[in-house]
Amino acid sequence: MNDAILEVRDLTVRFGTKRGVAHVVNGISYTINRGETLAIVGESGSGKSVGVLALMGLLPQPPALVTGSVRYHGRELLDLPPREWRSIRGKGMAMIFQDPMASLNPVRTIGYQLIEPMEHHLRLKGKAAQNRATDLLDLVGIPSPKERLKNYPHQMSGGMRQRVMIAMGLACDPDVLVADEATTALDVTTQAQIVELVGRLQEKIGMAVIWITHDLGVVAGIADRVHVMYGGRFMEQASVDNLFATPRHPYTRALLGSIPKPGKERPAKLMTIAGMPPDPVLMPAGCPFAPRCAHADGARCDDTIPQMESLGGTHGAACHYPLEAKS
Amino acid sequence: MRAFLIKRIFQMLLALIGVSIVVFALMHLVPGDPVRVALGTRFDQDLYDSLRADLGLDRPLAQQYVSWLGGALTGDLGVSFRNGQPVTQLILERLPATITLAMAALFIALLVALPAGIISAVRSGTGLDYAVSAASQIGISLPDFWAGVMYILLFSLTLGWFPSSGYTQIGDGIGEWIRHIILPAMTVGLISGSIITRFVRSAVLEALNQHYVITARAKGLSEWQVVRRHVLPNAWIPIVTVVGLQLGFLLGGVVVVEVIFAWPGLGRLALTAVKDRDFTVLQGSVLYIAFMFLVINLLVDVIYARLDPRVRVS
Repeated sequence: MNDAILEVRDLTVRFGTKRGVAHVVNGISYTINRGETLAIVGESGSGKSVGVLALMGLLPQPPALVTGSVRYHGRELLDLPPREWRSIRGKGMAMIFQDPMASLNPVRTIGYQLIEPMEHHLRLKGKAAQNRATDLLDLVGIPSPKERLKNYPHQMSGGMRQRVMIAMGLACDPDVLVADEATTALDVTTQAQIVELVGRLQEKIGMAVIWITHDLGVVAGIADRVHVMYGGRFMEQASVDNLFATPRHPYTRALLGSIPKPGKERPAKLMTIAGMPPDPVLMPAGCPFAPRCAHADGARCDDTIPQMESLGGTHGAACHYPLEAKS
Repeated sequence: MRAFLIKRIFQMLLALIGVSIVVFALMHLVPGDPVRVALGTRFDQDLYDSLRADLGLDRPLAQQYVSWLGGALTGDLGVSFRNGQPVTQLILERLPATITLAMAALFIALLVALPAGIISAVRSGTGLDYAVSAASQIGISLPDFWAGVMYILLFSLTLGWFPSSGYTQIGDGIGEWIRHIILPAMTVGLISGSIITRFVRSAVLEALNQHYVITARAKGLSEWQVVRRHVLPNAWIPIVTVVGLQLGFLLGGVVVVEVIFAWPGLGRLALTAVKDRDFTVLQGSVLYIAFMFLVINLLVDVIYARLDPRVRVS
């Protein structure tokens, strides 16, 4: 067995809706190794959050239908009985969420919520649990952690609450932490602190992180590898350096082009991508980006779904006409 | 908390004075003269005048009000125009029957509403949910006078399980007490329960859709643990409100049910007082009902502060 902690193969999520079947995640595959950070980048509605909720087993089925394979240390999760899956969730695999305001229970103390997973998975109680909770709050940089245990969420700032969420995620020493838009609701300086904190913790604990975001700036700061997601598929995958230096998929390039660059002359107009992301109920038969793509040929792109092809090394793109690697 | 309580009790007293003014004014504005009603066919002008003077009804309204309020503050609500008994005593006599019926009805209501509401929210959209919704709709729609009579027909006349009417005190044997209270409590409790069920369902559903529920699931808790530890503590807040309101209604006496089951509660006392134009008894009863509502409101507010840390701070 190599260092792969999590292997996702051909993960597909569909929802039955009144309008028809929504194809939200359409066969994504990735592997994450020990200590590694994988970023999944995409616009809202690209299926990135649903994809990780599926892999955590947090999508109610029905209405969702999840197929494919998720192997955690070689063990298939999608076939696990709910009870066994619960014994992994929150222990080996933990998750933190976008909105720290809403993700903590307003009527329970920080201590209660922090100790809960320890009680549940590690049978840690009383003084021992209290001590561990204090240590965790200290670890995520919360001052006077012991007193904070008695606080309620509304008595803390957004950044503090996200730190509490992270502490909660770390409560049982997970080897995978899934961060779903964990910095989106925070202001920029707090974002940077949280990104830096997770990076530091990761080095210390050696866990793998799956970082879901729409913010390429965050990606550059934290990730080893990046997968760009659009229309429920991966469009491009590369190491973070390669992706920023030589984006090969037209979508990735358009996405990078929509970020203003500091230092340079202020462009007359920020680049935008014309059109809207595809409707998951009415997915195009071909490449999901084809309707908005400047390079689409109007034939093959509209009819055939491009598969992920290697462009050398770990760099891959799902495009019939990958762009040349220009500077 | 203490400052909060003192403030709330002060507000409550103000509200009570407001209620007393309105009640007093209304009594004297509605047509119908209690002394005339009391005398009936034996009407005699001299007797009428002297009776009015005895009862203080010949004095100016404001003066009557002040003296009545003064009495009320010391627990003296005057005497009944009808039979001369002290109103306070009349109300106190009826209180045990009313309170036991209210508590028994609330017990049945919660016994039905909590599990039904929680289950239908957790299993929302399933057949079970629809069945609960339909049952509670029926429960709300059936009038108490009809349901009460049906229970009597079924459980006492046909099956002979319970007596059709009457009240025994709890001291006279718990078995008899339960046998007598079950039908009236069921009549009122199932209606209350149907109303509360809907509120429980929507409160639990609302809490289930919050993000912290996903957080709790992500910790690996089972669905029941999520409901018990995270959903219910939040859902209690709206549930307590509606339960408090229902309890207020029940403690004010349930007129129709008391009449059907010959239950000697406050509802019947007030009903008779209306028929007899027995102002003092009616005033006393309304004041008591208002008082009960205010006390329960206060209790609900105190419970809020216990349940919701955000209330405690403000």
